[in-house]
Amino acid sequence: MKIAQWLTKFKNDYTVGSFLATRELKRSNPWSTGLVIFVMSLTFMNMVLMGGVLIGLAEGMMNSFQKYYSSDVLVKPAVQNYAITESSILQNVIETLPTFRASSSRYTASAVLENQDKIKVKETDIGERVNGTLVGIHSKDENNVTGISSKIIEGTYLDEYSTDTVVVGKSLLAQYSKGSSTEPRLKDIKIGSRLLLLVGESKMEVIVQGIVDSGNTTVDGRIFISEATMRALTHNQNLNASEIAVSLLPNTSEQDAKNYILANFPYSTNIIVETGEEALPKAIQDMKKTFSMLGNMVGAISLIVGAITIFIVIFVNAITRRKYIGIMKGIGISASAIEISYIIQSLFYALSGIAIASLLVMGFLKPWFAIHPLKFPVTEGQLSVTSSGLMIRGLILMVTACISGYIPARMVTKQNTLDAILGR
Amino acid sequence: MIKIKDITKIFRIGDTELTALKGITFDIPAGQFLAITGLSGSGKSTFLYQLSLLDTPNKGTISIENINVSEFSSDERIAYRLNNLGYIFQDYAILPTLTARENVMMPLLMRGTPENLASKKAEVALAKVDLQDRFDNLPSQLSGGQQQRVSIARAIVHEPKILFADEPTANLDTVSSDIVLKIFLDLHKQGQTIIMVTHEPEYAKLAQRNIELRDGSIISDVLQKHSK
Repeated sequence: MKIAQWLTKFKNDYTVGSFLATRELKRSNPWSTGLVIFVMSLTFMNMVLMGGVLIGLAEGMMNSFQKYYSSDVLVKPAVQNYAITESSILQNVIETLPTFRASSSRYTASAVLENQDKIKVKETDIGERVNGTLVGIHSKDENNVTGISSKIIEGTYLDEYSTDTVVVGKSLLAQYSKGSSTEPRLKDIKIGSRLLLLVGESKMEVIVQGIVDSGNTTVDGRIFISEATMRALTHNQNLNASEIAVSLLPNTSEQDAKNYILANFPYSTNIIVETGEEALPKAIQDMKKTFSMLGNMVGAISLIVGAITIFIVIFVNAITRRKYIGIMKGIGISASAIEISYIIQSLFYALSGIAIASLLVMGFLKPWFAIHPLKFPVTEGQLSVTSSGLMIRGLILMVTACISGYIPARMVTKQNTLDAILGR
Repeated sequence: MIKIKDITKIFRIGDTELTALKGITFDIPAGQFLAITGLSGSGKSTFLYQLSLLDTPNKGTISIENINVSEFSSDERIAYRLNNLGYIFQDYAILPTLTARENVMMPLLMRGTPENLASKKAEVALAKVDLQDRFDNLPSQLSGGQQQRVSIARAIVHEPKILFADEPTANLDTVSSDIVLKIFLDLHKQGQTIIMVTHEPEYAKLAQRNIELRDGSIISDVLQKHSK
């Protein structure tokens, strides 16, 4: 058949198919139509929500890691547990970055926090000591980079002149980190509690000024103290930073900044420079992939359920109208036109379901989860749904609906015309 | 115009063969109003199905205007029915979700007629069968006789070469049956070729020619006195 003839035939088939479909939908039982659309909405919501929540959880972990720990670029010593060689020079190089916004040099050391009050009750008590990473910071710089002061859940953030106060990560305190962890935690610690801080041979009494809950396990396992106090505690006035977190101007390249630092710092072989993405622990990256796969699997199951729903609806409709389909063929209506009418009906169900579910997700659920994040033990999860993600899933559902509508219609239209008319 | 040669139709039910049509041969000139009669099981409906291309004979040929239509494929038969034939079913067979107008529009739309023009032509066809006040009624809002008239309007709206009617008055009361037959006679007067299967002798008598079948064979072929 020539292309022009084929196009004319398709146009006529489509005209009759849409004519039949619109009348069928307009005059069908609104309750049954509503029920099918409701099922399609649930199908689409399931496709979007399960994946969205799982990926949102992984993204929550990634976001809190980057926001409250690594920032856009993280510089670490090449050899673990050593400080960055000439970190003050590095700091100067960083500040010359064209895209520089803020940076925070951190001085870390392994430390022990001890609750002496408890020990006095019974010498054999366990859980009164907890190991953590002590981090000396310029409170203002750190807050400029990470905005950590906004994550203080009790008490206050360190001020510039703090000398004997600490901010403690929630993971070190029993009453703020309920869970199944077997790690020891300090019990009954409140704002103002006095604790003994031990770093190597040095020790000092500190007062708990604030408790931080960033949603990131690295940050929440730390003890923050001012840099000056850290120097005093370690008796080292020439302390080099253990890590420097760099925040860049919005919408600028992390990779360019990394290259700039490596190119301009004379001791670049002694450091590791990572972009926010590179700094992410592999476990979090793997978790995102796994959750994404799980979300897609759940979505695929929903898709199959949706496809079966449409198949059954169209099959029952076509079978009960088998005689009329035969009559239509009898008066010259092509099988393709009849099949198109069922495909259009399937698309209508799918599109209506997608539209309702999308409105609910983007107009209500996503904003709601943004305000009320899902609380998981390791982080806060939001609903990770993008417009492009919605469109892709919607497209998949529509293609599935087309196929699910076409197959039963084809099964009926290919039957012998006379047999269909006579009900044989 | 229509040449029927040696049409044979055999049904196989398990190991049993039933010959419904036994080598029927005759011609139908254009413009003729032909009634096919016979007792139940005589093969008259089966014969109509072969002529109207709803079924395929096991043997023999049907030529319409010198085209051997009995060798058409399924799609070709559908296209030929759309462009050349009109069919009136015994039980009206109008689509329940379409109004009278929309039912009649269907063959026109399938032929590529624009919707507004198809609607106007449907109105004209419905007016011909005296349903001008029922354009937008659904089948459920029409009586049996009115539904059959919608079926007639649908069958004639695209001006087919041949109009087939399979016991069109079987489910109708006398008044409605008379109306339907009057429509057929009017169409015949306008030159329409009509082939009607009926088991009612009084309606068969109104036709120009009457062929009676028994056990799949023609037992009489009578050209009746009246003509258009």
